[in-house]
Amino acid sequence: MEVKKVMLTEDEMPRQWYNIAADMPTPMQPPLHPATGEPIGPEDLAPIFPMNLIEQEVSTERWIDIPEPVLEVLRIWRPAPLVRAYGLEKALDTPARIYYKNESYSPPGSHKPNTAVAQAYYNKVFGTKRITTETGAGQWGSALSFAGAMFGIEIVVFMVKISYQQKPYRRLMMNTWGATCYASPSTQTEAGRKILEKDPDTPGSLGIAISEAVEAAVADENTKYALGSVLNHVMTHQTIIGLEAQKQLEKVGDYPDIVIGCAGGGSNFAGLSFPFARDKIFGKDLKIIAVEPMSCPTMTRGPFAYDFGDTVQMTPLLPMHTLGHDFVPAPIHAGGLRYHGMSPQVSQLILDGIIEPRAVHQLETFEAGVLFARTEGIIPAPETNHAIAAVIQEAKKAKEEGKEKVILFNMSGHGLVDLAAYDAYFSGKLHDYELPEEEIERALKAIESLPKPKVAQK
Amino acid sequence: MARIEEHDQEVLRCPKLGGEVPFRYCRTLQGGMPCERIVVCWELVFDIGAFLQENYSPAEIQRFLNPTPKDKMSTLLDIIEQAKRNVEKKRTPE
Repeated sequence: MEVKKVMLTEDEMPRQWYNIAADMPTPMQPPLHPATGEPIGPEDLAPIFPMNLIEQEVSTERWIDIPEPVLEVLRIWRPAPLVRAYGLEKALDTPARIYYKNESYSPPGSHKPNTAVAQAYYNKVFGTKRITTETGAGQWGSALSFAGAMFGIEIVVFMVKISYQQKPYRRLMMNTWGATCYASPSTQTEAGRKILEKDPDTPGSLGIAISEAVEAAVADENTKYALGSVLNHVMTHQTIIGLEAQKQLEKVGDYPDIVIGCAGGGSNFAGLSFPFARDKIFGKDLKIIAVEPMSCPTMTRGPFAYDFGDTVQMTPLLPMHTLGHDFVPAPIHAGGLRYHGMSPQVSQLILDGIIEPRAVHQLETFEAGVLFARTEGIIPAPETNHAIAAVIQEAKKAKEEGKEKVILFNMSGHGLVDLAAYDAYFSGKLHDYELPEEEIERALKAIESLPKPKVAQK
Repeated sequence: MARIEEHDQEVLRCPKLGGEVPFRYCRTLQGGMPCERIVVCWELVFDIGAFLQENYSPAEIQRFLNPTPKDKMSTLLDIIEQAKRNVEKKRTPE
């Protein structure tokens, strides 16, 4: 009988996280304080983070011990299975061997609690009584609420109002785990009150919700703030995914040719890929693909092909130029990966050529998710569908080339609390391209001769 | 219906929020101005370039598209400073 799931025993769980800061080909520069221009110090972050997490944030130690109380909670669902996607392979008629880490087993249904549990523990040890955070649709808020319940620490979540209204089940999950969830902007903070005064009907935004969560932390010395992605310590906590996958693949005698994850803030992607990125940094030949949600499908067309020489070219080049030639594309527009919302470590590894970014249009992602559900059974989270779409692209390429490539991806979460997205897809609300092909061609031709912006240099 | 509202009912999944939002949300996110991702998200749904040029000045477009966005750490540090001012304001009697 073919092995469907590759399991690890609890004894085989990794006991240390991997910190890629120790091995970055280009060492990360310390962030500069925007007010002083000087490198930030621990005291700059102390109002919102406990010192033990600040130390992790700046650490260059390669291996960081996972505290036993964290492992105890992670054992509720970890080690997570590595699953062979035989159904998907058969549907695609591909010689590729497709594996995925199933991170949807966790109580909140995604990879997010891998760091939520760690952050709740470190805060508890530090003496924090309450943790605040912001959340959009609620994946992160519910993960932190779960973690708070595990360690008996109070959680307050500021949820963007439009999502608070649209996603009652995520909010109810938070309440069930004992957290308080406010629709943001709220009257709980000065930041929220100011916005409500100007626009009482505002649907809210992540920016406002972050301001509220941070203010609530700054206002009380017993309260700290937690972030679900982007920062280094979050990436480090998530590496338990990739470290488990390495052990599991070893059991079946396979090693990936291609590692794929969807990348919003970068945490699930980093979690799976960083242990393999280490291998690549030290000479192993493999492709690591970060898939992001963007509308442009023409990544490999003409001037928009990614160039991994001295520059990295991002898709905003197209939108910049659809605004007319008098719009000067700024050299550091990142609209995509190298921007505000993405892990600096992931961004740097893209610039270093270790990671390849890719964009997939949302319709293709839902097609991929539906195929996955109908062949593998699990209904993926819409974000995860970006990874699956790229997996399908690579599996089809493997078929064309007749190669038995090993593809590993992160099934970062299930979509059972996000079926409204599938409803929008099935009822045709998520649009296909309305611009006719010749219009796209015209737009591309118009910018063919224009210089490519330098986003950053090696 | 004002021309600027013509696409307001179209729906897309917002990658930042993780949920479906109408174009109106994207169009007004930054204090009544569009989200910096508006072009990236909507460019192949309708001619967003023409829409923005019809309804905003070049200076406004440059501003809200935010060509030099800060990284997350810098934004957090700014928010901490603002939060300290808010908290101080609340503690200081008028």
